[in-house]
Amino acid sequence: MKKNLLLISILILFSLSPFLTSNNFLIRFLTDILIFSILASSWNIIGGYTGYASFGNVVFFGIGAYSTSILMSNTGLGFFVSMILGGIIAALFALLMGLPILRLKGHYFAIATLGVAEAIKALVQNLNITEGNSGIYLPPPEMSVDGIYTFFFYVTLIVLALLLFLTSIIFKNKFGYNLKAIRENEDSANSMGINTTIYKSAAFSLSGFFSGLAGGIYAFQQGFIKPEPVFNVLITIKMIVMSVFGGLGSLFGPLIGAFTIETISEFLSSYFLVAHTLFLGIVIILMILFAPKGMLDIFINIRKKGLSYFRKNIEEHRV
Amino acid sequence: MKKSLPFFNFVLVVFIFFCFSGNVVAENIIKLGSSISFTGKHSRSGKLYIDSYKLAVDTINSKGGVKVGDKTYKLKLIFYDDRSDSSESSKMVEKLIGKDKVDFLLGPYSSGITIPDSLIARRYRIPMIEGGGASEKIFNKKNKYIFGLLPEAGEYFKSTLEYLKTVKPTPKSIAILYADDKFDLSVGEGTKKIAEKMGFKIEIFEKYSEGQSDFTSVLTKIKGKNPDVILVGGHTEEALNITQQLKELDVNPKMLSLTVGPSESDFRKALGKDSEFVFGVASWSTQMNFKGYIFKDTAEFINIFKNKFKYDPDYHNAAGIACVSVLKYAIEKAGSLDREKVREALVNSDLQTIYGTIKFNPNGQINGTSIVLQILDGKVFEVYPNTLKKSVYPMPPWKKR
Repeated sequence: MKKNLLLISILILFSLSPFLTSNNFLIRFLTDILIFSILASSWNIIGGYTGYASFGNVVFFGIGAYSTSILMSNTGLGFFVSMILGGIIAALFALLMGLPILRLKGHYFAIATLGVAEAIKALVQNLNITEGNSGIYLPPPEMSVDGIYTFFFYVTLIVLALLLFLTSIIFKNKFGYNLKAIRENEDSANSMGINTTIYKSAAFSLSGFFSGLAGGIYAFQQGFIKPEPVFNVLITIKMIVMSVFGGLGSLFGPLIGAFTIETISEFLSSYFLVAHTLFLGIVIILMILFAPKGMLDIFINIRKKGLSYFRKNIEEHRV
Repeated sequence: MKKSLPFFNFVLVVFIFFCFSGNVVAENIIKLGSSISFTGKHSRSGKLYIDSYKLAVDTINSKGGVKVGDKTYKLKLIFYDDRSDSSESSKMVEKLIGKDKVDFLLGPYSSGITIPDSLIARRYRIPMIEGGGASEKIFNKKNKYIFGLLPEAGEYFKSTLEYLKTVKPTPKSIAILYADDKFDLSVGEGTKKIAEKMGFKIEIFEKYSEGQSDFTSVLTKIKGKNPDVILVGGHTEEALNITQQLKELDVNPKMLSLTVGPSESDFRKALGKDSEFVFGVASWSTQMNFKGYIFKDTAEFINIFKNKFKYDPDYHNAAGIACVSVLKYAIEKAGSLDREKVREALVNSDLQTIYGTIKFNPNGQINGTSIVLQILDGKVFEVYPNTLKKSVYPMPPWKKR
């Protein structure tokens, strides 16, 4: 109980941060972390819990971002309606894309998702409605300067809270157990009478829906988007690295991953203009070597086992 | 309780780090901030601007700094790496504003990154001067705080068309060929618009894919219609192929003008005497000689630059120098560090720099200064608007050379 109290107080402190600082950059920085937390957590649903390593999740982010932009600038719909529609469009796309692609496994699935993401990027680069490669503006938010930052912070926080809440419910119920069964052994799950196709597609759509919402928030916050940044495969990589860094297949793992990676990367880049990417790479490699189960696993085990925890990890994985 | 203590400590440290990391403002320093690509796919071009910004600031500081009223200020540059990512870039601009409290902003490289940055500049009403983005999208949103030093792509051939009105016999028909990348698309469409307004007849208007090497079919079509002028918006390789294939097919326009190619020595070397009389356009080249503002003239700038950085400057570098120059000029003219006053001064600027004359259009983009070049006796000369050497028009047919 005491542990929960502490956790709750951290969360309250965090969620009040727009009122604790007048530094808009800090709020924007935290908002970006939250956006990546949403992306990493939604990747975690398909990649971590279900065991399908999608390398194309950025496509949902991009579709969400572009749907929100087009709906807002062409039909005059409000931000919230556009963002939710953007999420739904991304979810439907995930469903359609999942039906053929989720039949593949392992590397084949990864390559196929990567291919779909690149294909959609090429499509967006050449369509008239997306204004091709030159990018598209969104109407600016009509708020006070400080208000803008508080607004985006809370919208993102609420979406993330919703995602975590849904995930925690799902994985306490049959739906979640079915997904885990698919991850452990899909054939056995099938023979146990689990309709794997339906469950996989549902997980993929859920992942797509929340990535789409994150895309909508991102687009509105940026005020202008182009195909290259919102369909950039590096965003998918970031989702995966953050999930793994924090702890794959756990509720708060991706969150911790997003928080740590973004903070370390920001810290490094303010001291090393060029070499920061190198140092971040080293940190990630060390992490994978010494604690392949992620940050969350360290927090849980280091008190129990001390430094022998790291030794054990190395021995176990024969580094 | 104990289990999550390390994490809690970590969060706390991060929080404190950010809350109290504001900088102490020093006396008599004007801070210029830029979030630009040190890493990522734009790092090569980003470096051109970084070098130029540094050189310009160092030169200004060593020559006495910036005079505002009766006080003298030194310039200080603050850089962040945007990793060639637009979201990262706009976040770093917020950091420059929120944490470093910069006075003015210098632009990043590429249009896609410049736009989100310019939106932040507008939000905080801080003038941003950029030399790395030419897309009209930057300037058509009535953003009063963005000033661009690259001329509009669509007006690239404007000076050429004006030149064509001065020659005898006045040409009537034009063929336009352009590559399908964003910049050349704007060149092609813009040229067509201006040419039609000026009363030229567009015989052929065709797009080709970037990097194409065989132009036989479209050139054959051109041969059939025999337009007076061929204008090409593309890249060096394509320019070489088009010129060569024109000769092979014996197509003899009165003028052939290419956006990229003629000003480069490789083009002249590869084509030899076939490159003779070919026209080109440029917004800037090392061969031009402008009286400077922080340097004596273009030649001095090129010398200093080469000595310091060991490579030849190109128009990116010159534009970067001009960014800092025009800012210094505007601050001194405004006689104040007030951003609104400096912005007013920028709007009305009229400055001779090593990059040429800087005057802004109402939308904030530089009043295009592209000039007409022609290769004469193996060298490139400006033939319009300044006549450094008399132009040869019409070009003699390939067979009579």
